[in-house]
Amino acid sequence: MTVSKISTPEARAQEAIRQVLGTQWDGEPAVRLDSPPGAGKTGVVERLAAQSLGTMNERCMIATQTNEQAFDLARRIATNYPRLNAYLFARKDLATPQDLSALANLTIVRSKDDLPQGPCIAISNAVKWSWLKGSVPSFDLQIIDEAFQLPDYRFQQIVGLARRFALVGDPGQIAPVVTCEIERWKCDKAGPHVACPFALTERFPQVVRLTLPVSRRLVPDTVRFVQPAFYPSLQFEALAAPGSRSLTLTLPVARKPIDAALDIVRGGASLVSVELPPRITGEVDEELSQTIVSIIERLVERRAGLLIGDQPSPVDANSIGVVCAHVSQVSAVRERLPRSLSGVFVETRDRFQGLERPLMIVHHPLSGRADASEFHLDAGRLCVMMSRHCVACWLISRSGVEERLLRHAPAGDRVLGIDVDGEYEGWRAHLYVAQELKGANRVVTL
Amino acid sequence: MAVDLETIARLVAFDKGKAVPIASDLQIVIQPDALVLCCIALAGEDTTVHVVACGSIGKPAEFLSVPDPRFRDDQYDLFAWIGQRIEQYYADCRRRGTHPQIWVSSDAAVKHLDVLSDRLRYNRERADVRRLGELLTYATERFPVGGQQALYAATSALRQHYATGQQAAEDAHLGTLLTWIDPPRKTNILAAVALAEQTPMGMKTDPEFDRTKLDPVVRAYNEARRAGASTAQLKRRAQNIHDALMTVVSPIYDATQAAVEILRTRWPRRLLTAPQLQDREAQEFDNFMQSRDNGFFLPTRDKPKAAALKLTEREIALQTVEAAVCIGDRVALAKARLAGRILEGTIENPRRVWVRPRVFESTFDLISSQRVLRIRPRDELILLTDPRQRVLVRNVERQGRRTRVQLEIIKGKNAVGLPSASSIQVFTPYVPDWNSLTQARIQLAERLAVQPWTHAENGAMPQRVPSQLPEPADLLAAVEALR
Amino acid sequence: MRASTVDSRIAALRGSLGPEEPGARGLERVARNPECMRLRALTIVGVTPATAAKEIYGEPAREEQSPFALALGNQFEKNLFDNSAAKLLQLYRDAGRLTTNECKVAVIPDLAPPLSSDPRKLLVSLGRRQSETIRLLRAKAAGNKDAPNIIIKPRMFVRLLGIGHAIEPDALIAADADRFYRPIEVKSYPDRAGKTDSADVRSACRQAAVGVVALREAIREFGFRDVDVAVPAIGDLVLRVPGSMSAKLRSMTLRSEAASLERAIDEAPRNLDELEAMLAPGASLDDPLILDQIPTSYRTSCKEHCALAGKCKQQACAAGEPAVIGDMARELLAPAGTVTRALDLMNGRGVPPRTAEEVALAEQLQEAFSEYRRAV
Repeated sequence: MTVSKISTPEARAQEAIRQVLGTQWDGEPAVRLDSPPGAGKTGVVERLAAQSLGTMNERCMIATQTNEQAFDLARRIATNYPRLNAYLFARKDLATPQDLSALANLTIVRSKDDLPQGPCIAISNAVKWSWLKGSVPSFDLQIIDEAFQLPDYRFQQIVGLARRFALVGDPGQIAPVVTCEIERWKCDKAGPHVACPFALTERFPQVVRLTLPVSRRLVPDTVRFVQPAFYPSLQFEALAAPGSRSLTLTLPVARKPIDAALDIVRGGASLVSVELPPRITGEVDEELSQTIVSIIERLVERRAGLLIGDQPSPVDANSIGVVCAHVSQVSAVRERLPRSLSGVFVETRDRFQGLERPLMIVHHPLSGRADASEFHLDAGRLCVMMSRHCVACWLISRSGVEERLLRHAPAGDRVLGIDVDGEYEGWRAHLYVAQELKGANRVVTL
Repeated sequence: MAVDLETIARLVAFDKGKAVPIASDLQIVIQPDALVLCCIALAGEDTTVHVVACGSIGKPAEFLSVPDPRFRDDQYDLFAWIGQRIEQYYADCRRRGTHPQIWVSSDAAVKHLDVLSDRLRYNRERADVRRLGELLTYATERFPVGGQQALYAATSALRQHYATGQQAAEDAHLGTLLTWIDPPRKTNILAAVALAEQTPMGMKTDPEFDRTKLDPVVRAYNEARRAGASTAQLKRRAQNIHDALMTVVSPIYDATQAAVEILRTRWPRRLLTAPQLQDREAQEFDNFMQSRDNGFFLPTRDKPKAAALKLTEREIALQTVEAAVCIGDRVALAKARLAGRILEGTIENPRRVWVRPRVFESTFDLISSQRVLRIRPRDELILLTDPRQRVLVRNVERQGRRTRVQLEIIKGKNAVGLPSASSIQVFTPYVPDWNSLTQARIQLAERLAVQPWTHAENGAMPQRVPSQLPEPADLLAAVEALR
Repeated sequence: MRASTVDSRIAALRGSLGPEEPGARGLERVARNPECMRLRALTIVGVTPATAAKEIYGEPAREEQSPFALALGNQFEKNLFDNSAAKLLQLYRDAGRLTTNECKVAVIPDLAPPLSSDPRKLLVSLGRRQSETIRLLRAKAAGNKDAPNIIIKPRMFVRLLGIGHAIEPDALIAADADRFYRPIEVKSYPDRAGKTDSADVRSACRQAAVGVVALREAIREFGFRDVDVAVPAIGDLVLRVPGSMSAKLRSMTLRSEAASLERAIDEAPRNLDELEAMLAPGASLDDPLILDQIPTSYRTSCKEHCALAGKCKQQACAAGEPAVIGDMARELLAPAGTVTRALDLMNGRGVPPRTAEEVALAEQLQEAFSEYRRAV
């Protein structure tokens, strides 16, 4: 991909999509598309599917990771391409959202026999596809959404259904979950437990690899932190011009300490660390949960607004998201939110995948811990937490995170012949974020 | 992470100076004819067996050693000896339509068997040694699969039932574990444990022992052998080695037997799903032995197809077993409740709502005071006491310390009916589906029958086949035009 | 920091004990538990944990390695290095790392007088090994085409507090086109792919990382600035095929291992200052009561690498540290501080919860405890 000749980020983004679309005309047997957060991955999945059916008159199947993702994709394709017929393939007794039934060009089928034999777009989750009994006419294109969350052994079970494959996903996020014993395959870089894009590339290094080089969601100020920390080998830029998205605030009548956190964002920072006095708190930290709520309430009090491009809009509950590491922390925040702000989406990071909000507040996974540990150091989780916002994000923690990281020695559970040391990468990413925020004067101490 | 039951149990055990139960039912199925096998390797040489103790549970051991396992023929003879006993045991199990069960002392001992089986089953020099490798492979391949009944480490088996007041990693030593379970009177538990720790309980001898006791007698034997000593002299020196090794292997055998005895006698409540687990094991055993009869090869590395099959099997086995344990065992249930994976609470407002002619929705609310709840709208749950009833989570609302969950019955409306108001009910996300493994195997066989290039070993990528249709000038515009 | 001052400071802290060379094993250990001040203190003053256990705490010395394992290890190594490392070269050729032309082998012990029990002669031999090593390393650094591809048993140094500690990696490897050498660790541990003992892999990787650090120091002395580029954190492990004397070659990136060691080395001067500040003037570590004062960070992994694990465990138990129940308990019960306090909170006895964290913890403990009692 050449950057020099193409002038704007938008143009570069579009060119990348053209390249992806082009691989299908070239008849590439497989394509791996690495996408940083907010780069329009789902839009690419939609376009690939639309092109496959609409322009190339093919049979296209899409495999998602969860039912919710399948519903969402079906909704988007049917809504965006009203002239194309899409099919949602679902389990007999699966409850589907009401609004899907209302879409004229979307048919919900419960049996494989009800799937069309000819050109179509068929959407389902990967597990459902793998349980297809008997055969269906071969699909021309199989698109896997969130491919880095599909372990290779599951990919293997649906591979026989199609002729060409497009694996689309974010390599920096949470890895596939495999709970059973996998010692015998640990050394194998193309093992059944490995995310299918990595396994495929390992077996066939010549598979076409493309990237989406532009994030529509993240602003340049955020990319500056997120890219080196979580995507060291994936170069990308922000679509938004610096300063094109901002937070507006009215001046407060009486100043409160929390205002420092808001003002620094108004001044242009998209990523801010808010530190409370150091304490070992365990999972639930009442003071921290209250701080999160205080920020939200203060935003409303100061009549915060968003300026995105030229579009102003007021900040309300729907503009804000809160992400935590644990369910108990989610409950603690929800309990404290006043009714008027119950629309704020508060969830664990697992439930935040694929979602975004203009403003995000993060309960730092390492806050208040006596010790860093592998679970909490997981880079994929912090990456998701820090890449949900399109305007600004506050990372709230007890101070001392950097010190704890420096005192921590990753246990070093190494696997022979495997270069990736997940625990170290996570540790390094966490440390990078902490040190960079400090170095850039992004730390507000309460 | 929140405080879990394991931590509580360890705290209580530490306080008491004695191990405490961490299960309510026996979590395993002990075969009455199970075989206890204790092998000791020569330090550094993981594929050797210097001495072996072998016997059925509750019975005394037979012992055999070789003076120096680095002498191949002697070593092979020892393997053959073990092989005969295993062969007989397996044949006996087959005849009775059941499955074998081997008990070893610890995870280290399991690893030792794994190393041996991996190596011996490819032995080209002696068929009887190869056969031992193959038969042991049954046990070692089953070991990582959830719910397996073929191979037990006494330490892991005890740990499923007891929590000690030491670190989990320290429980890997059978001696310390037994000391916690039955602490000696009038001795400080920590001192007793420190003492117990000095006796090896795995598959290795202690380096100090090697230096002071074993090495001298092995040297003496080897010197005599090199010098062409008489049979009687060699026999005497071999006996010295045997005597030394006995001091190591005998306590390990006794400890392993003691562990089995504890589980057999102190845990009367059997696991509800014991019959299913046994049936499954017997089935696996039968399949395995049939394959051996048919001369099927045991591969070194898994091809992608075999890997996919095995991983799927393991995942399903684990899910099935975890769900199974949750149903019967009170501690497992408590753990799941604490972690918020199981929903328990009081029923409010059970109602039937008319939707349209002859169609009713059966709905009710459940008020839970669980501090942590991992339930979300559109989750599906099953009534713990009657798996015929399936419910759908319609809404979850936290009200202070409690959570109000709105549930709709989607299966078993008539078979089970609405729960009564003010009753306490428990719902779980899964129940063990004992058929799921068989069904998965059938399905996988079908889906993996044809292996396209993506997973073919040493396969080549197919050529590109460009589209025959005329390609639009601007692909993106062409797609946008489809809107 | 002038070496002589440091020398006298650490000698004072050592008291009656003589200095010991940590070797690669001793150096890599110190990076495993950065929070343990006791391990750090002992390492920087030049006392191994094994000596501390025996001489300071009076614990009976326990043999670390079996003579059988030792013999096997020696034989495995000898096998590889005999005949000008013929088997080792073959291993690298089979892996495509060296061509048949790249067969220049230097055996450092052969380039110096044999080791002697006479201390003066010993010093001469070691000094010669060191200078020969430097000569060859310098040649490679200068781009000399005749620099060896394999150097066996080089003698290199890692500086801790400005004091050089000798380490002798098993070998160094470089193809002619490689910028500089990479360390090789030869271990007779069985290579079982994914089933290889994780403690074995860990120790091999950490020792190889010491080699990386030593190489970086050497190249820095030669005036290189981009040290991390010339000597990336990679090492080769040569392990044994189970049940045979054949070898298997594995390349491992060692970023985590090298980084933690370099950090430990960087922190050493500060640690020395902290140590002195912590103790009364004239206090030395050879006194068990003094050594007891130095805080530890007892955890599950200590047993794997430190001879003091048993002693620290005893002390942790006596102090009621939550770590004695496990690493997770260490984290979960941290707000309570000790096991005793945690039990009080759980049983609702003793002083009522004093902080918000204790309140939260008490609630969790009581909830879990009542679930537990209900179940068993």
